[in-house]
Amino acid sequence: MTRKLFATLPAIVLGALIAVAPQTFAYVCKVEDGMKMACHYTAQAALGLGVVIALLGVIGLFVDSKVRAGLDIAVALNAAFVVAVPTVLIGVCKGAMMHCHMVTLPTLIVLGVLAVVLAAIAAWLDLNAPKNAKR
Amino acid sequence: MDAMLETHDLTREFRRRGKPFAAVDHVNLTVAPGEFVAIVGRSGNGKSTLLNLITGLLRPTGGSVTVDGRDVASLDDREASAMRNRTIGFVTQSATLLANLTVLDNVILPAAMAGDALRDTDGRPDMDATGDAVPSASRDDDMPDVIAPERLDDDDPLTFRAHDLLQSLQVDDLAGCYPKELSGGEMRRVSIARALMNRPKLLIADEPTGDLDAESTAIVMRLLRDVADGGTAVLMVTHDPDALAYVDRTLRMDRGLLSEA
Amino acid sequence: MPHVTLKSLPFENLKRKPFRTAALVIVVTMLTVAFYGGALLATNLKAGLNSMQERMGADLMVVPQNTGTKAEALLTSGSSSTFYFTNDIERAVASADGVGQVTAQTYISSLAAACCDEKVQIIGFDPATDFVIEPWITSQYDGALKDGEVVAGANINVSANGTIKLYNHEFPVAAQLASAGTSLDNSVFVNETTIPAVVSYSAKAGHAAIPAEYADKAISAVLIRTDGAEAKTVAANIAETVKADGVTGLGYVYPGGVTASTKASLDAIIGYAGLFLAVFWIMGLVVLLAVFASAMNERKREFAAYRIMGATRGMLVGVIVRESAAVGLIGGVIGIAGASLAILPFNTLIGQRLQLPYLQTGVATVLALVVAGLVFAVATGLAASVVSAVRLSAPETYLTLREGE
Repeated sequence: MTRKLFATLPAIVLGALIAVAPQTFAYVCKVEDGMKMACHYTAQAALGLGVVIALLGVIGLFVDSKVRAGLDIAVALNAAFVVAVPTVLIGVCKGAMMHCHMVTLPTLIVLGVLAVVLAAIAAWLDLNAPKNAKR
Repeated sequence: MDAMLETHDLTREFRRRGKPFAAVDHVNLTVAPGEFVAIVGRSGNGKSTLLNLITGLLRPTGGSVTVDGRDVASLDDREASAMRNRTIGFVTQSATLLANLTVLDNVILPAAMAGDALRDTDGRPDMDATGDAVPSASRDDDMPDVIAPERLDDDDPLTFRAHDLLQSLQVDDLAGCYPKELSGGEMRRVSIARALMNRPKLLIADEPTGDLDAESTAIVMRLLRDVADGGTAVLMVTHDPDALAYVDRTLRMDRGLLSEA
Repeated sequence: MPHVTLKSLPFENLKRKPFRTAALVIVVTMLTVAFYGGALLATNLKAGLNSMQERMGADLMVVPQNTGTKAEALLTSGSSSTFYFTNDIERAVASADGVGQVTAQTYISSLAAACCDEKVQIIGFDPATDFVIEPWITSQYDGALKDGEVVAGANINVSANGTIKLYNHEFPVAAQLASAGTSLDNSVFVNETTIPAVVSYSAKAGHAAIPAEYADKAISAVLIRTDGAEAKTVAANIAETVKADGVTGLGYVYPGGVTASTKASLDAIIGYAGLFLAVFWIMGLVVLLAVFASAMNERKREFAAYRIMGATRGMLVGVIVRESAAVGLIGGVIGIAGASLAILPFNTLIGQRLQLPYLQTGVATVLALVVAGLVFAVATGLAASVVSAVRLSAPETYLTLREGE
């Protein structure tokens, strides 16, 4: 049970944060005059990725460890995209003092890195689970 | 034949409520190679102190201990540790199996210690995988020459030998378990395998049948008898009358004094 | 599977006691975060302060009445602003006793022109007399700044075609400066003769920064380097001199004083933080010591078993030392990774929120701090096991097998 929570809770919490952060406290530049900046699309992508990560975590609650190991790997890969989207794939506004550059970008990087690391650990634990299955 | 273990007027005093008292009092004891000696007596009569003195973990107040021709008191920590590792095998009570290691690793650990750190103090070569300190009788009776196929791939001599010992004690299927998953009798047998790992010349057993049922007691005692018959000096402390049937000689320890029973 | 060795034994012990190990690692992690994070923040603040000090070539700034605080904020790290008086004051100031070098600057706070552009501080300076900004710019840009061109601070968003749009006008950017950790990073620099053009663009955009009639004679501050006299004395002299011209109520800012007071408050903060850190560390160490000591009692039997199997006292100490060093290392790595993740990507935000000069130090310094943090963590782990190690290495060990054990 502990292992299951350890494998799924980080994905659920971090996924939710990744989805919500760019819409709330780590907001991006507002759309003005229909002119959408890069950060707007980054926020949209993060919303999608975050929801997927959180759902993978939820599904992980109801499956056995072999399947969950696969979900963990999927979470790690999605989380890698959470880092890639604001840095290389889409990007944010260039101005260093812009809120999306100053807050959204590092927030997504931190959440993404944490999700990658924790999902990798979870995958490793789930793959090695059968050995100690009876405990 | 020279004695494997010899104590001469061995004395150890402690202070209890300010007054000195001798836990071990002028003990003279000789055990020859291949001899199986039992010491009986109630708890608190100095038996464990005697064992600690023999292994060099405690220093005597007076007298001397000689193990395999070496005066234990003259050894420094390194030499005494090497002696405990190489010359003496110690069958402890169940609780001294290491909870953090598997049964297999518990058995291998004494050899790992010898290989890692004691080699330079003691010129003995590494284990050869064909050694036969394993009691031959038990191998004949209970376990024909069957070696599980997967162990043939295992070219690590220590792992091979540990499996061999565990098999001769009929606990090889537990090799991957942790001690808390074992019963008392199983733990005792693992403990014996560990004590035999480095092919000791002197085997010391502290209450080896302490909390065992009659059947387990018989298995353990037959094993110890086999070890003695293989040429190893065996010294056992016990208060189990059933165990005495297997020994060559029984001594009684009473308030630090050792006497023939 | 490889069999157990003395080297792998400590790790088996840690692995098989996951909760105890996790508790110890968490304590070390918290201590490392406090140590490394604190050191990183303090280093960045000091770097920012040093950078600010270097940019503060002036001993005295003369500014319009009641704009002293705005000017101070502009120097350290604060909102951009516009204020001005007329440039005849520069001549009056120059004639006062004790004044060495004099130069004038003009500050204009731009609108957020294009989408996703912040307000920027436009600083007009006179390349001929300037001794404050020019040395810094020339350290990174060789050419002379042409009329109509700008030099951009580090945080300025320069567009792909090398221009910046201010008041709907695209100014060519001659160079972009390295980070200074102060508000100068959010500034663009133009020469004094470009200011009237800037003012006219602002008027065209409908937000005249300075009334048109002042456009070619407005300055915001006169920066003075004294000839060695006390800045306060010179300020008094200036007040006397301009009074003759009928001007009163100028503001005086002492950049040296601003730096000094910032430094003093920073030193106080760092001092308190250091004290707090020391107390925190001692508390953490006490916890670790207690856990290790109680584990020692629990593990007496285990160590007795090692002894009876022929472990030397040195081996036992080695096992416990390696266990604690491993705990220290794991805690240190987690703590440093966590603190780095929390601090390094957010350096712009931290600098903005602190309202203090904050300059992210270079890779070498960060690496040095990482190494120091790891050493600190391992040393903490080792210190926690010292008592246990000493007890284990006592000559007649208490680790004997007792009756009934």
